[in-house]
Amino acid sequence: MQPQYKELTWQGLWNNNPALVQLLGLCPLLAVTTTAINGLGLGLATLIVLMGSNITVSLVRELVPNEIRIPIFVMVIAAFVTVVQLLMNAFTYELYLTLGIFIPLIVTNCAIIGRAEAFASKNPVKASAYDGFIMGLGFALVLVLLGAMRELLGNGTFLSGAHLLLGDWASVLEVQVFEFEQAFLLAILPPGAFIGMGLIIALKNLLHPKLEQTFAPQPEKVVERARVTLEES
Amino acid sequence: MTEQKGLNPLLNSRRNAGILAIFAVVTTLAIALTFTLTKETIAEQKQAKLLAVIFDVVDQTQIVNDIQHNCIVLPDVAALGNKTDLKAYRGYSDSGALTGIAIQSVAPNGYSGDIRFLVGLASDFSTITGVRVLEHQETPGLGDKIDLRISDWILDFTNTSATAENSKTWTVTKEGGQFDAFTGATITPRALVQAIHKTAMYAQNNADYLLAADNVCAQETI
Repeated sequence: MQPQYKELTWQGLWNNNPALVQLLGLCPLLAVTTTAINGLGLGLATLIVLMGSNITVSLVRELVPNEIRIPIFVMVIAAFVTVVQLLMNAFTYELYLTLGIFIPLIVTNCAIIGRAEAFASKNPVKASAYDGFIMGLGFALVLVLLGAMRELLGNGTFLSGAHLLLGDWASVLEVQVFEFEQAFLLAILPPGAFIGMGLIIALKNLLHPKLEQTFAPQPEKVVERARVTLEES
Repeated sequence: MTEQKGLNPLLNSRRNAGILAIFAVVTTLAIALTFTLTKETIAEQKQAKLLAVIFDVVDQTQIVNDIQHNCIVLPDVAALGNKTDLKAYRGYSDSGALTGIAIQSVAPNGYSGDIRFLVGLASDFSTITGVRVLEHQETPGLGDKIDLRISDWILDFTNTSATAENSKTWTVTKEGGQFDAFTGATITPRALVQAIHKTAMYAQNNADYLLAADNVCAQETI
């Protein structure tokens, strides 16, 4: 792997993870992660939108005057989200019924406009596509992890509802890990999302020094990268 | 990013407006195209889902007509939760007699707002052939056990009978009724049990209307 892509991978998955470090897109992140599959569904949708918008923004970056770049990025992202929403509505209808109201929220996910602004508008198409992919993957992994945590604590299940996303064969993936006398409701209710998210961030910070030693690419060829701290819109 | 320092400001803003307009047109076209291409599939999915839910609550073996295309509008009455957009779907046998009806109704007193559900009644309007919750906002982990995806509690209603005489038993066991409330929630199941009974009562008291009202779904095409 080329050093630039190594760096992008390290940034997207760990060092500058959109969910854990940039803390972008918290609204959909906290709202849908009641199960691992919901998290995966929204994660994939975000990944597709992020890649699509990064590619498009990178393609048109020479054409877009600086003053009107934000409205153009917003239009591109809104168009991608609407297209993904229509496709999900048509081809994964059951999942759409569960996630439907959160899909439009991807528009307000600042991770996407953040990547368009900070990376795609300054870099060639291939690198931008990869950046969108790896940032989306980093976001999706956190969604799945948080979803799995909350689902396991709150329902005692893992991958319940897999058939909604993957088709009927996936029902075999659904596992009842343990049964409760009384479910641990806090995990499923909104406060559980915040607490779980806090714990994951703490764990990330705990592991950071060790992982940085092992995996961080040597800063021989530095990619220009603005650290994004846009406010959640 | 292109810089345009030194350009005439008026020309510059015209140029920007033009670029914005082009992007607006292109993105709108992309959405319009996707919408056109997916419209039919989405409509089919909705119809299939509707039919699946109707067949969940009525006895499919007794019905020969295209039940999802034979529906009537239900009036805004307290027994059905005072909503204006409710429908009932009528199923007929070979001989043209009504053999099953699926009535949409609302329990307005759930723990967090309306619970929309569909009740299937046999031709006597008192035997319940099935109930499914269509929409609710009940607490995850507690009240949401009314949803078949979460628990099979809702199946308890299949083949029960709701009459004017047995209205006292149509509540949760805690209050002397015949239906178990699930652990941790009383308000949700009680609201639903009572609303189902009210819906059956409505059907019995308005049987003439249900049988005679005009079909308003016939024009819908798949």
